[in-house]
Amino acid sequence: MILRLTDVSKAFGGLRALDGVTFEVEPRTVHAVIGPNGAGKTTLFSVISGEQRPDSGRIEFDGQDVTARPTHLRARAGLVRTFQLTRPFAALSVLDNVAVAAGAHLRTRKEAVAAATEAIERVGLGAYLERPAGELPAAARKQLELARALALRPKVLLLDEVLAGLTASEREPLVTLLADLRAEGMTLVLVEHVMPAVMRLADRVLVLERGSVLAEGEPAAIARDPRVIAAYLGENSDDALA
Amino acid sequence: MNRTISRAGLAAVVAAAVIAGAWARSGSGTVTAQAVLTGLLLGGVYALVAMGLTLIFGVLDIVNFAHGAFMTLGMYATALLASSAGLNPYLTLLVSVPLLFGVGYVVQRHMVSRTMGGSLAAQLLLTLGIAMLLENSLLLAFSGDTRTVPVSFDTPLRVLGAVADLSRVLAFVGAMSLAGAVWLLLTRTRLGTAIRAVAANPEGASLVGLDVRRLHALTFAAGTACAGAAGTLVTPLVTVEPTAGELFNIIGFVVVVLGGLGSVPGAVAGGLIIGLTEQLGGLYLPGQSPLLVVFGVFVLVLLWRPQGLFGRPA
Amino acid sequence: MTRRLIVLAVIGVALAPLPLLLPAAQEAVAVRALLFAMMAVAWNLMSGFGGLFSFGHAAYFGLGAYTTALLTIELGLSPWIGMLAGMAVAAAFGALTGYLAVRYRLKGAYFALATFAFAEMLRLAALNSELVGGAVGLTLPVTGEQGWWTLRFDVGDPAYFWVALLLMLGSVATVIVLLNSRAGLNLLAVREDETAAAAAGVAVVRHKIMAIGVSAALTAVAGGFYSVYYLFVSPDLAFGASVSIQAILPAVIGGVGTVWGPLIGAAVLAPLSDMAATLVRTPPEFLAFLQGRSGLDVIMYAVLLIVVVLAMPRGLYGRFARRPR
Repeated sequence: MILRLTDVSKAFGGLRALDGVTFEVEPRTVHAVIGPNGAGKTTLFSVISGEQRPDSGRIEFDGQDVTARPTHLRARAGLVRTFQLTRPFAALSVLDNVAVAAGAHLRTRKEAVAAATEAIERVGLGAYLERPAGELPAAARKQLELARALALRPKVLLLDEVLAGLTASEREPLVTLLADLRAEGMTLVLVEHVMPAVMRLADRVLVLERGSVLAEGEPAAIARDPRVIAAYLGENSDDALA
Repeated sequence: MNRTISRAGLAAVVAAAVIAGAWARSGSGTVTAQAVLTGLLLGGVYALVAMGLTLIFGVLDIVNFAHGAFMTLGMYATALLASSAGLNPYLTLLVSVPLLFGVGYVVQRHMVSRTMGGSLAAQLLLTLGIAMLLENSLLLAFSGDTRTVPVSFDTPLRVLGAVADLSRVLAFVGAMSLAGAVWLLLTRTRLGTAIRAVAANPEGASLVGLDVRRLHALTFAAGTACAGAAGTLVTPLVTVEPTAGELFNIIGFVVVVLGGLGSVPGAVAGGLIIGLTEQLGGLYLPGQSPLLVVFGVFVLVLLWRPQGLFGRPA
Repeated sequence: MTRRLIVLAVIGVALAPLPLLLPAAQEAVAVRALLFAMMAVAWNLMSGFGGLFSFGHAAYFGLGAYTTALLTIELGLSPWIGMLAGMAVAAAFGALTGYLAVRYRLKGAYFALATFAFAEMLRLAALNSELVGGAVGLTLPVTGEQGWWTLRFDVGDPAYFWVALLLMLGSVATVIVLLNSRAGLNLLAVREDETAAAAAGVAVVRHKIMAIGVSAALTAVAGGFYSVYYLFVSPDLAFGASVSIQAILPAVIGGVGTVWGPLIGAAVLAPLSDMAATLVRTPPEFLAFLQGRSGLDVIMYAVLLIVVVLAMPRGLYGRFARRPR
């Protein structure tokens, strides 16, 4: 077990964003988290990565209880996230953006730059190395999020809608990259709306609804689950399981 | 509303405890009563200063470092009219308030509006620049000579064993009346409703047809007019010099943070509390500047409850 | 980094002969410009590169000035030791107050007001403390052994300029080296986006406190030099709000968050105040009313500040040189 949540709850005022969520992630697998808007997917990521402290429950990563550990230490230990609304360091160059993350493991700036360059080239941003990140187009920002995460050498990579908002041709290389990462032994947890990609990549699917786990299982089983279908048809057809 | 009342109750209990402590420490009821009276009277003026600041912050989201300089402008208007034309200083409110309203309107329309939505630093620096410009223009025009404006009919009044000059009482009554007038303007008039709508949600306000830019300018002007009025009211109590408003600006910030940025009732309560703190603090720490205690309270409030006693948590 | 250090060295070499060429009165202006520059470089590190807007740099300046003055007067120590001690005191004060402010998540205006309050508290404490001379302040001994160790020279000696120049170059070099380090890059990331920086493995609080501490230490050096050069410190001169403004102005006018902006700002501002002083002393015919008046220098600063804020938010360097990185 590389990641385990036990009975995790988080409320904002009267809203229970997460309500007793329990689930486990096996190493070297791809987990997809799906659910209607407002189901608590982004809160789930914030709680796992440490930006939000859960009101109750436990989070274990790589055999250790990390519930009280600050975000940056989780990131350095290999529990890494990307943001759905991309958060580049706008005034810094693409290279420096990624070098910040690479520096978490490397002593010298030279090493960090080398590692950062490698990550940037891997996500296909090589042409933008010296560009200020604030000037990147939307698709490139998504790639930058990914490069920054990769430079931290994640064991578990939490991807918050990396594919959303991209055209089919922009998606394709990223999907391939994610498949490669998994083949290399990385564990991926995706929040994703792009269903064909989810079905193609995921080993397990977790369905959240109003902060609770509605269903969890293999993609094929989830796609047939009547509760899941009901929840989705009740929300909106964009999210329907294709 | 209930919470506001319970907060006010808590503040009153704390104030009572502090007063009792000061009494015990100074060992004199008269000294304590004098401090309480002086503190409350001055606190009323702080409240009016802070009301202008908090109005500007609440509606325009600007931390106004020029507020004290505007107040100084009001003092000079009063001092000049009282000494040259021999006017009753309190009559000069009829000049200082419209004058500062106009100054505020123009400053907002032509300078501050250009930094709206910009970085906090830009707005802070702009109002700082305006303050430096005003203060030093006064210095250049009138030199550093200090002026005092005595009130011919001033007389000491006895209140509960303590003594206060009539001019202090008038400053308090005037400040509280004006604060009340601003409160009525905000809650009972259409203009006030519009201003509150802009404060709550500028985009929504412009969608329903309110002229947000004009309302911003009017609010800044009204806040600045508060500073002008406060300037006139304190003129008989202070030495008028180009930097006379600085201290009030600083204390205004303290009051506003204490009361909650943007909260008008908070400004009044905070003003009275800080007035008391300043006077009673002198009893607790004899030999130290009373302001030291004020800043101590300020830092504690910032750290403990930055939304202020009457503000909502972010 | 190497390129920036080379540029800095060139600036140093170019400025070094200045006191030999300038008349004594102008040398005083040049020293003041260097002092301005030191303060602004330090402020810029915390507020420009670190994104923590300080309105209370007087606290660090004053601690440096008073520590240096006290150690010189009371123990007869060299001002160099005084400055080192001042750096330590200011850095400790900055780190402690900074920790409180950062720990309790003060942002923007609240953070600025807190720094201001800390500086004012120091000013008020100094006003009422006999140990540091109260409202009167401290006067440093004029006589005594002269030389580079005691930093005591004849009035107008070019050595004062060279000391200030060295300290200024040292401050800028510190900033350049820091910016090029991992810590500096992390600091920029924290300024840009705290949440993303933490997610990228950066210890946000630690980097903020580092920026505040280093900035405080560099400001204390300026304060220490101030007491050595002017031989006098008082609560208002050391801890007053105008000191904080003096740290902000050159940086803002030159260009916040750029390496060279504060130097350009200082080079513009210091002569301006001298010009104003001359104008007031011997005004031309049509400005005769200015004779003997004060306030003109600050009016000039204020107008410049307003124009820069409204018309060129990146400052002179950002406006006229290449864009900041």
